[in-house]
Amino acid sequence: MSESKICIKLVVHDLNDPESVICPMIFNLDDMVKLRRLGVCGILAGTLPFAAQQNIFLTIPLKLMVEETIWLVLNGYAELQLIQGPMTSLMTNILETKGDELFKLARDKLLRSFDLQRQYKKEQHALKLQKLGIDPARDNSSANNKLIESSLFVETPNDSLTLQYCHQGKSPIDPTLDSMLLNLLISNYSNWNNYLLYQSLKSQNYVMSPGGRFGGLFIAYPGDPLRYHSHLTIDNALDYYNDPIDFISLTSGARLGTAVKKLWVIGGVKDENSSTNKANDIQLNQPETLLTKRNDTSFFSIEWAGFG
Amino acid sequence: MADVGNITGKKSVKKPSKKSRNKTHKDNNITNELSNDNDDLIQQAADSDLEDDALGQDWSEIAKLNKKNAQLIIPKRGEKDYEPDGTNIQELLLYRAREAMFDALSNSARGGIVKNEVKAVYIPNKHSALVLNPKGTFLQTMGNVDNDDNFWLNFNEFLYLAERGTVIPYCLKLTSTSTDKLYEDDNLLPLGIEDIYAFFKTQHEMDQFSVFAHLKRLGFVVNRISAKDTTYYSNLKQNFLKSATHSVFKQITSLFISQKTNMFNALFYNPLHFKFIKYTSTPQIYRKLKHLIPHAWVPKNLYQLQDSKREFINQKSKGNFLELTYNVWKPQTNYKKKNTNLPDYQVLVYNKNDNKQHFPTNDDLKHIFASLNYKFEFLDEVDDEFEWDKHSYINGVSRSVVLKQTQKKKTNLSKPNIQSKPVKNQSKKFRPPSTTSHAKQMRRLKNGYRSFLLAVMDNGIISFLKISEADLGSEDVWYVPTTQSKIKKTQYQYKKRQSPKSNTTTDGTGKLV
Repeated sequence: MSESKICIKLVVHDLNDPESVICPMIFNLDDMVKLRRLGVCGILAGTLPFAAQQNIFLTIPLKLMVEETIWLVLNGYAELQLIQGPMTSLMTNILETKGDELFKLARDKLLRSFDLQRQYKKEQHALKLQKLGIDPARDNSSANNKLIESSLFVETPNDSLTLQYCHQGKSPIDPTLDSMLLNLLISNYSNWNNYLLYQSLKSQNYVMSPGGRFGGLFIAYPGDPLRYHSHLTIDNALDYYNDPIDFISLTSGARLGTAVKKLWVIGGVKDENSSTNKANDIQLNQPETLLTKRNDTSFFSIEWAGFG
Repeated sequence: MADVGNITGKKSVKKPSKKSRNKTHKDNNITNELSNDNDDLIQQAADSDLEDDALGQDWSEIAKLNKKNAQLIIPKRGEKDYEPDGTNIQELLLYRAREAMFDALSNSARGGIVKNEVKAVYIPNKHSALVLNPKGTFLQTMGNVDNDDNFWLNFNEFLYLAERGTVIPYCLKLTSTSTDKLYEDDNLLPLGIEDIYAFFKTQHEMDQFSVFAHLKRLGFVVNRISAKDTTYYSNLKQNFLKSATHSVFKQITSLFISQKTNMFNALFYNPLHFKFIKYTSTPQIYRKLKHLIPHAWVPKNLYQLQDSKREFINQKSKGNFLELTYNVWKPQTNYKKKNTNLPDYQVLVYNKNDNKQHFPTNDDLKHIFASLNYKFEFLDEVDDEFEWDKHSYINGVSRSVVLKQTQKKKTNLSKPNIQSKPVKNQSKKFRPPSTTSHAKQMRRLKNGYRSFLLAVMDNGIISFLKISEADLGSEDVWYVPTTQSKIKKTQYQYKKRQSPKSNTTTDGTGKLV
């Protein structure tokens, strides 16, 4: 079971320095497929090598929102893989012990790919010659082989060869570490109330993606964004009993929502103790405390009526 | 107070067109999607909705592309449905869309062939990469050579080029071997993209990289801002006496200016006022009213710019202000890495979700505006023949002089160097055709003066905002009837020809503030 979990990479150089916490990413395509099925999309951010001059179609790394990451971990779909820096010492440690082994691995992989390519190219060449009516057995010039050698493809892989070793000798799941990392992420990039909004919408089968462009926290899709338009812009979570709703933000949010064909949604967590609770750290041993809170959220949608 | 008037939401920096035919075709696609310059806010919002849909694009088209024609077309986004209705056909379509997407992702091999392989070795303690056999077009705009003739890529360039497959990334297996064997093949361990991302030291650094890569993919030349950059401000060694007298002078005048408005207000609101002055026309009233509007002073020409820069340097305020990140140049053939011309844009990177960062405050903005150092586009408007090379300085020497000197060194080269001309042509090409005073005024009101781009990072989605200094108070926006009888006559005739109902607001300029 634990093997099929999605692996979220989290680079933290110094656990005491919040600046060095880098947002969670995914580098594995199979993991991405699993995420899609769960209705978590993330944002692709890397250059797509064969269409490198555009920004619409991108490739790995897949950047995940903090709320997505927490939801995946709390529900047991994913595990956090901490890559703890400083990277220079981490890398030298790994390379000193495993350097030769890794080198051999990389070299073997490269040679194997070269062999396959050579074979493929020779077959293609032979087919071409056959079409022209030349006996391929006779054509065995060294020049041809040289050409093939120089046109072999060297690939840069998505995943890392070395970093898989930085976890050896550690227990696979360490709840206290995980909860500490999640708290670190939340305190850096969001807050727990925002997460509860996410969780509540997720339980209603919405797919969320970042909504800064629409003046909100998320935009919500009714299904996979590949096939469906988004319907909602969700604003940052309100403190349900205390926060005022600003009239100007109300009109601007609703007005913008009309123009982009989205409802403007505000929501809050209806927990009278929330102001005292939200700063508290969560413990992963009792994820129920967070998971059961999904009924405590309340949403309001605001629409420009365009009446009269 | 610095007036921050125009905050224009821009989805993306417009991509300037290139020469090659294939590429212009592609450009058309992009600019069609991006052309939202003159639209109002609602239109922009609607536009960005379209781009939102680009988040879930139609990957089936790009999956069909192979290496040969990938440069030709960027596929349009596909059709979408309103919401899932549980039918099989929707399931099938979704399945196909996902299939296409993951096919495209897994079939996009990154790298190069052995013959053209460029090896870049990451050196951890320098946080940059050494290129063993530098070759390729990227040399024109990226990297730098140190005193030992080693070619270095900074970390942004290294990762960007590795992602494209232009360089193959390596690290050293053993750092302690003898120097002649250090960069042998047997000591080079290939890196994956994941490894390189793990070398980012802070989230902010990664956000900056994302913006860098985004702009590079659009074809811009991007470099980090440094103190050694070419500047429009010549006096590196400041004359203390001059600056001192200047500041004293400035203080006196500013005192006078603030007093003047107060005095004027007192006079204006005094009922006796109307006993002395008779108002016979509307513009007369407007002109008087204008004095009542307080507005910030913004530099509008090169001398005022240099003045404000001098002031800024003198009173370089303490405190931690946000600093601009990148210089950005439009794609150009005569870009010189050593003696750059002034950039076309300057960019500040800001992560919206980072709780430790904040949107630029008023003080931040003042600081940023004062430290701006680019081809101020509003100067081009004042003077069509503005030559930036003469007005930009490298180490206190005018750039045109520096270029001449370097050219002299290269006299062996037979071809005469055609420089600065293409730039001029370019600037002419992008000028909108209408140059009536009214159009110019509208442009001033809309675009403002000094400006910079704010790249807002939201979990991997980048939005660009243009923030510019505005001066709305000093523009006369009302309609002024011309006093010359000749023109009056023609206008009268013109009105006659029009239908009688267009009476008071016929002229487009009849707009009041």
